[in-house]
Amino acid sequence: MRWLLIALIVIPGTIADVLNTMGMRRNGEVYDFRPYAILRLIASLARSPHLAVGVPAMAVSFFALMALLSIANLSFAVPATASSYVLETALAKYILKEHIGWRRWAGASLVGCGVLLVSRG
Amino acid sequence: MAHDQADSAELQLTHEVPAPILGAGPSTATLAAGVFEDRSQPFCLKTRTIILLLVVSNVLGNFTLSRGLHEVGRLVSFSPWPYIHAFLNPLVEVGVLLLIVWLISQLSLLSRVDLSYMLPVTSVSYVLTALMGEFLLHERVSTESWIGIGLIGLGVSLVARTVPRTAPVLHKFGDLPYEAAQ
Repeated sequence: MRWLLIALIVIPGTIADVLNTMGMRRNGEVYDFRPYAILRLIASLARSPHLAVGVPAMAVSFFALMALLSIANLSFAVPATASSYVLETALAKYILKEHIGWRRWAGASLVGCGVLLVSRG
Repeated sequence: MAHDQADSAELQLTHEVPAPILGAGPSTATLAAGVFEDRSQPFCLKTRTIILLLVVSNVLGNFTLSRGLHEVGRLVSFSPWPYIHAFLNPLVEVGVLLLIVWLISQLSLLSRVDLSYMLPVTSVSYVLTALMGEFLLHERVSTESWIGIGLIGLGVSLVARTVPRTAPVLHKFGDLPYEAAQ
């Protein structure tokens, strides 16, 4: 059960991040954070096909995390998500066409290892 | 926005980031009008403010949610009722509210920076969680964790030195570059 939940956290979480990035890139920059503007932003995002899949995928990932947190500690939940740093950096390069130099690769790897150590300790 | 005042006390994460993200750099047209110069400063600050908001709401959201769910008890079910029951716990409610703030700030940040920039930079939340455990909850942070915190810090400082956005920006009003579409 625990590992099923881990899969339900990582796989939809990864898909959500990629789709949300695509959707937000199409939406254009968000620079106004007044309450009315945020409501307008939500209304505009509700029409985005990428976010229509991305946000529910994020919710699946979130509810799986909620369920996992109720039966296990955060220290069990986090290590699996640590590996997603490198995975998602690779997806960002090949799917989202981001330019990823050595700093980003090294940074993502270091952060992944660091997250693993922090949550084990 | 009130958060702008908090910028001086903000995490020093992105101070190495070059100010002109896409479209904010001076060109002959913008120098003449002087419009983008005025806009570029709060623009850059707001990106940092979003990062701060994202990290804080993530840490506090996970913390209150985790606390609340332990009060609620076991929650593995395919039926919606246990989840609805869990929402009646005030700690869970605060946690969910904070995670909504987290969602909106994450989407806003993704509209400005690369995914491969956001992910490592926002991992400071793990450092904050560990430090919160040490200083607020008096849990001992192990040597292993301190090494982890060091690695995350190093990773974040590397990524923060890259240009935040490298991918082409599309705009819903066509394929004009962002600054032209504005």
